[in-house]
Amino acid sequence: MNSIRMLFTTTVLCLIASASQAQITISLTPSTTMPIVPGSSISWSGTLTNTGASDLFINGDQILVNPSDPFTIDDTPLLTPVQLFPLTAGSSYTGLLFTLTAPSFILNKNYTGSLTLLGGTDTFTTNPIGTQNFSFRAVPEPGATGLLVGVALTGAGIMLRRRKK
Amino acid sequence: MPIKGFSLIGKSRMHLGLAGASLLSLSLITGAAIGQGPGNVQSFRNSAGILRTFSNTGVIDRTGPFFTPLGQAFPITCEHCHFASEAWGISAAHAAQLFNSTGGTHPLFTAPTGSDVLAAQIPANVATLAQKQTMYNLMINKGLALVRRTFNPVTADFIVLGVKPPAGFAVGLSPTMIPAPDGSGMMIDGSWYLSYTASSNGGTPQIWTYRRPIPTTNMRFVTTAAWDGQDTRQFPDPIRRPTTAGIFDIAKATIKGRQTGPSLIAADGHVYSDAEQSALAHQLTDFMFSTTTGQDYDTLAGPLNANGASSGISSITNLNYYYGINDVLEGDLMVVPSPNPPGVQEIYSGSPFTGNVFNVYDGWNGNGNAARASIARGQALFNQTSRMTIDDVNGIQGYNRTIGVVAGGSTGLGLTGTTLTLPDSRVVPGLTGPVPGPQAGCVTCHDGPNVGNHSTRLAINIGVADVVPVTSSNNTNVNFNNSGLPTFYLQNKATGEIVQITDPGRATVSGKWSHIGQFKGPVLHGLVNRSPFFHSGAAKNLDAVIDFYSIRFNANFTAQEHIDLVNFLKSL
Repeated sequence: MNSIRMLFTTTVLCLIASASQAQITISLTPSTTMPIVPGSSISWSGTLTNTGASDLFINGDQILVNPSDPFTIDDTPLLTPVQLFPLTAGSSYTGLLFTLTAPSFILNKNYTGSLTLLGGTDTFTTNPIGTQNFSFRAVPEPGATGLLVGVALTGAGIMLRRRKK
Repeated sequence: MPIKGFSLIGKSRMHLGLAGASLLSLSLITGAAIGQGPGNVQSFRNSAGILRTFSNTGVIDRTGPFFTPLGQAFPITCEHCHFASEAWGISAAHAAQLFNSTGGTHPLFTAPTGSDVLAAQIPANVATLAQKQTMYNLMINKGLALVRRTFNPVTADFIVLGVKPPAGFAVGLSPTMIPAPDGSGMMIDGSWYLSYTASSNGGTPQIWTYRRPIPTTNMRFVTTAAWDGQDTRQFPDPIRRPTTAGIFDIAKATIKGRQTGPSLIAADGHVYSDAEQSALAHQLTDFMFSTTTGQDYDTLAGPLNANGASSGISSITNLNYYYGINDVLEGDLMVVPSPNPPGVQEIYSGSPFTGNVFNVYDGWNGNGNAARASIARGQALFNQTSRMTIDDVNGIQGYNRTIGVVAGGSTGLGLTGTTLTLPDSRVVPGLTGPVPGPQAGCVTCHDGPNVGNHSTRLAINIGVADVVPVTSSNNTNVNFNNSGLPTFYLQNKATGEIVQITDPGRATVSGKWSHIGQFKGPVLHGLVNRSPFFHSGAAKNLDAVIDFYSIRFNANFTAQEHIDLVNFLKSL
């Protein structure tokens, strides 16, 4: 249900963004599905290019992750550079954009996300002016895997000893 | 052996399964404990740093009714007065920008937000830009929207003698004029005024006031829905009348009052049934309760949950809060089911009120970062319970505060004794904690822990609705004034006493003389994004807010204390 809702919302945001005359294209790095272990972080850098004819103020953003497990996202690097306030017509900005931190415990699975820039030609407008998707995959922490195997082997050992008695 | 071995493996599998299940459970529990982190957020930069909104539904669905015109009569949506970038409110600066950039054609500038919902629907009255500026002057200058409240002149304690209306009211008409009782010129006759407002309400009189739109976020902390307690105030029992019900009523009334008009014609042309209105109102209510908003990053102090601080959006999302928590009048109370009679009752936890209402910046006391240290000092000032002289406040004191007339002297808060009669007429035991006393502080009225509203439905009159507030210098103070607002002349039916006020407040709803000028205290999160402040937009900025409290309650904040308090409020 969340996937459908997110897909729908992302599609709507993309459509709105594409319908807008003011556009910022986003190139994210890394662009591939990145692995993330519990408790660690991934940072995405990128290049934002204002392809429109007007200066654009990036007044905000929306970052969605699906499924919405308790990740922490820090998009401060995207909202503090003076070069993005405004990003002048035809210019580009390259730098760190946001960092995602995984919780200490998380299941192995694939995640998708989207970054939508909100802004416009003044400091008040918050229309979608650029969207880019990203993805990552949660992978087990070596220590956690070891712990799991350890617990299993300990359990098996106890069972074997009981059998022998 | 193979069988044994198989059996053994089978049991091991079972144990492995249990171990795995335990780890899974631990993972889920831990995740929930950490949980509600801002994984799905909207972030907006502002003058102090970054504001964030977290949605517990994962996404903020902009296709929902909050963002959609619901009627044919007016193109306005809920969002047009409640922008996410402004903590789900609207700043006067944004309203002015929208007017100027669109020549007054933005949907915000439609009749229900004007000075006069009837006059604004007559094209000749808003044909020119200057006429539109007049009709919407309160929205443009102070971010105020028209609020229409049904008023019963028969049951009320007072009569509306007359009104000096805002610019744009009854434009093109010839109201009956009478002399104002204070010799300040002419005013519209009260009978004419009520008859005129009744014509927009099926024959039932209304009082029209002009107020700041309240943020439609952080609803789980809200104990009173509207500024005047309409929709929640009528029912003192918080369970029988939870805030969700009040918000639902407001949402349903908004569909008619601001979007469809009396015709109830939907955007697609059909007429809403009551069930459809209710369904939409439920969606709107659910949406408003799904978001949490607050300042998350300060330009000078950095992340507001770093280096020992625990504010920011994650912390706000996880705050423990319930109706009556740390109430200054009654002490901490809880609401529990009552078997006999069936319903609910309030019980006291035994914990007295504590002045340490905010503690999220305790870790920044004496911090080497000047901005962090300033915020921490501001928090400490906010928590002080002996800094202000709380005097002449109708709603928490044992006498009535009226405009220019104070009946009775400064007899203290009048809270001691075996029982206490609350503004709701509830009679409750006396204080469970130390008497706040006339010497009190910000937290006397802002007692919600790390939220800053009042944790019960306490409406008070501190003088913001006065025609000339204490710091307004006859309304010539550009940073604090009630200029442009209406003046209501109200006369007590029993005593004949006459008062003047810019907004009757809770008295509009209750009809009680003692409730004139009473308003709730709002949630303080996201404050920096939604100037001007107070219900009337009297204070242009947070500096003006601090100036008001400093003078009004004799706090005499120093220049440094003033800065610290402003920095603290910006960080919420």
